[in-house]
Amino acid sequence: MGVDGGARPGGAAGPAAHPVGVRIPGASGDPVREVMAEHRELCERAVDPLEIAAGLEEAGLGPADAARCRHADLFALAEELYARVPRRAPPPVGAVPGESRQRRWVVALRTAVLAALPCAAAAGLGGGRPVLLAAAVPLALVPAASGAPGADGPVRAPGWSVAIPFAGRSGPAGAEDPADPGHLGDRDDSGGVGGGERPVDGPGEKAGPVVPGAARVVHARLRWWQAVHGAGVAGLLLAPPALTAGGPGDRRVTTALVLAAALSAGSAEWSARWFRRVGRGHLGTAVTLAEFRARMRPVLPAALALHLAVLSVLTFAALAVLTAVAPRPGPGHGGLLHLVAERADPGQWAGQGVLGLLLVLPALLARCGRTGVAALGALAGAVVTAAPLPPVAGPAGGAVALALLVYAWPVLGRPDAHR
Amino acid sequence: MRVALLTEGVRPRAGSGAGGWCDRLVEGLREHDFEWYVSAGTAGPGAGEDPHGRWSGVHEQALRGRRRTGRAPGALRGRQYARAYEQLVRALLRPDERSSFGAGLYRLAGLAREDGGLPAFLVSARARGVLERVWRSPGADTSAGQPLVRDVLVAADLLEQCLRPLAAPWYGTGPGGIGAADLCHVVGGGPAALPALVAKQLHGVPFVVTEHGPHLREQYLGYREAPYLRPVRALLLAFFRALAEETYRQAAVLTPGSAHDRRWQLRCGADPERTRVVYEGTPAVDRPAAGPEPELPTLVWAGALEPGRDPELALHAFALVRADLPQARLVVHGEETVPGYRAHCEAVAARLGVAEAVEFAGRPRSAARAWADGSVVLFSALSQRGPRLLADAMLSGRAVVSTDVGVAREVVGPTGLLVPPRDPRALAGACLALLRDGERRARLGLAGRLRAQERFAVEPVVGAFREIYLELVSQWPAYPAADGAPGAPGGPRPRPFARPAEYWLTGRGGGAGAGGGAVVVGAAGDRADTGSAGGGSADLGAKDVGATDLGAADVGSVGAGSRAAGPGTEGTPAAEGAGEASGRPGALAEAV
Repeated sequence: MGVDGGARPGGAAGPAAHPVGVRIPGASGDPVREVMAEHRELCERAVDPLEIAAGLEEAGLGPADAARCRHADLFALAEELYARVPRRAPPPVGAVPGESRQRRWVVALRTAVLAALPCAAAAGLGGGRPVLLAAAVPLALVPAASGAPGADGPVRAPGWSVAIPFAGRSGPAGAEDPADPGHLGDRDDSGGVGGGERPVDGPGEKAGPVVPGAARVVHARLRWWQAVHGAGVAGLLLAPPALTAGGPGDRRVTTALVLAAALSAGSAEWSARWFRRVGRGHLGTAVTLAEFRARMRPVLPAALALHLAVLSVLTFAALAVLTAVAPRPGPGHGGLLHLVAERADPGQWAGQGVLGLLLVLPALLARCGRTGVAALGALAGAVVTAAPLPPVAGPAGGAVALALLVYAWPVLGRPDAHR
Repeated sequence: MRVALLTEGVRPRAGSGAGGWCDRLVEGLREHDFEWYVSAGTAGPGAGEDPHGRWSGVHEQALRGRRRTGRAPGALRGRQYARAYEQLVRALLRPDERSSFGAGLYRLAGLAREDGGLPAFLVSARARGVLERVWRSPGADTSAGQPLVRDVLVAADLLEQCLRPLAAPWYGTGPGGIGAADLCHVVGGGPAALPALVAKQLHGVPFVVTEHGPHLREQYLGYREAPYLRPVRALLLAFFRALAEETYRQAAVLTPGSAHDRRWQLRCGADPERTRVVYEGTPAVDRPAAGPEPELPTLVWAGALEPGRDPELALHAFALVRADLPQARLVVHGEETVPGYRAHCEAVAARLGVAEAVEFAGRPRSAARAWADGSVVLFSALSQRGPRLLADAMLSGRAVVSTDVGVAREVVGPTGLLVPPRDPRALAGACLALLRDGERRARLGLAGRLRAQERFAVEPVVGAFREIYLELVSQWPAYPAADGAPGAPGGPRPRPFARPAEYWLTGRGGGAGAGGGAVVVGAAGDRADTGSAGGGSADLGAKDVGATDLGAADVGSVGAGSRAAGPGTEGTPAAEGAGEASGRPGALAEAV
């Protein structure tokens, strides 16, 4: 360094000029204290003396300032600052802002209407095969209409959720040139030396927020899962009327049950969103992984129970309307409650429960990022339910629901399903 | 010889043209074969292509994006993975176990090379569990705060991304493997150095590290604005610090881009003996000097419009200049990187009453034109981390006034005026002194141009690395496998100092510049004369080719012994370092 003694302009510099900058009024004669006061936030936030050194360098301090503070170099000064300034606890991070309650209700109602309208129209038009096929198209769009999992939170594609700012700082701050890409900007062009920004890198480049991750990526495959999931939902809701179209069963009861189930698609969506919100809340506040799992243990049963309760209320209401409009021929005994409950046989009630599970479990899984399993589960449920062997259909649907439940129970309790 | 060039960053693109640092190096060293190993951001179309056709091979691995995890390790292997990972994490979190970072890293790399289960392990719940257990155990450094579940999740993800190069399919001595290369050249440090560290451990390939702006410093600056909570930041920065220290310890030669960067490397444990400054060459040295000065006395300022570049200081100084020299003008080149900052600067100029004499010219068409707009070039930045912009301004032949920060002193030196930062009076005084004295201006401008041409030309860089490469391979033991000859069934047998430096030049490179080759042979011969240790032992080794390794009971034997163990066992880093330090033949002069 001795060779490079910079030529200073003789007497031109102002005598009072002070490299450290503003003098703190009332400061003592300790120059370190001055630096400390000026860079207090940097020192309080630093995790390492080297971070302070980098920050001081960036703020324009140099070896001369370190010498003024009686240190050999900036690193030593930074060590003293790190030792003297206490680390201040970071401000507590508030709960992760989830989606608003209003939005949850709006989406749930929209889903219910979207699912119920085609079913009602198909039932009203007689339930022929062309009508059912036509009704399947809007039904298949229901999961897509409720929004991708990435719309409110992160996509469950872990590589996207966090990104390292390897490049140091983003933007042209890294490259020290005004503009010229030809000569000065070769750091950007070459992939060469140092921490240049990489323009080709896409979404991973900007780091996302802490827990929910960066949720700006919706990749093309997601749409595909949504379509499969939608096909499954359509199959689940349209299989019973298609099967009973020519069969011996009471078509009106089937229609009532299907309408109730279609309306409950809204409640499935609501439950899934509620589950996710609760999970994210716990994720923001839980201290250990074990504690998080313990907290999440009762949440899945609660979400399922909520959905099933809504479904049974809706089913009961639909059957009550049916009973009021078209009473069963012959003398009835018992009150309305009894009549309504008897309107569907136990097998139909059980089938309704299985249908409810097959609606809510894929919704939960898709909301928590397991889109593939969700779509396959919904599709498998639909295929099994639509099997032309009625005695097999019920238990097989139950088996699919059980398999989904067994899969979902550990997966949805894990923290990485909620980021 | 075969050089594996390891970088992190953009993949080679067809549109980028020549002009990159690596491209210039490869262009200059045509006698060597270069393979490029890129740890790119995200994999995408065009991966692994070589748009220029200069490289023997381009290999790419994504650091971000979707993981292809593959098969998870079994129960027993999983336990081994967990132990190695725990060792690594403990080195990051417990101040008393810092030294075990390298051991944990190499254990993980060895396991990954055996069964390829590392990516699946790193994303598993088991890895998270290990991380949390160590992090919350007594004795862990949690001065940045106790970690919560979300911190563990995010930190585990980030560590996984950082450790991806360990599982790259690059290792091995087959075609395209790093192990088959004669040396590695890491450009940029950071995660790009991981493959070089592993290759040194597994295959004994030495490596050079070139850093223009230490990666670690960039991380410290970058993470200040990253949206991670403090425990995560502390863990990740601890990882980068440990990685930098291990890299500097293991590197055969470090070539920082400036003496300013060198100080950072020395601080992080680099050996001053093995650290040489090699300035970044720029093709702009061939550019003619700027034409005649503008008629009115004009100051030109260029850079990104942001607070760190401190254009406000330039405006304040210019107001003082204009008070003494009313016909002076200021041209500000550059685009704003902080939204609204340009408007802020314009408001400052208006408040100072100099708005009509200040021109915000925006992005210049070329840097040379920007400098030609003024009679004096003005730098008012609070920090100068890289020399490139200063050097480019000096190459224009205009006199330079700069704040005395960062690399300014070593780059500008006595050929320009240096003033303290944040001092408009000093800056204005310097500008006035130059604006009033045309003869001094011209003298300083010419001196600056000559100084920059001397320091930042491309040929010295190429020459420096030519020497460094030769020096490395001549003192490193040679494998028969590196020659392409299939060795004995017992694997490659090391023959330390079996080949003199000249070996690496004969029959290679064809007719790629006979003149350059001759120069190199001369240089190598010189060193063989002066460096008696290296040359002498090389001759010995060449004579008893069939002898066992015991014959080489010279300075290189320690390093040779640990390298002889080869893949599978772990040589002690300290022993290797000692061998390589003592085997160094005669100190070379500073590269530039």
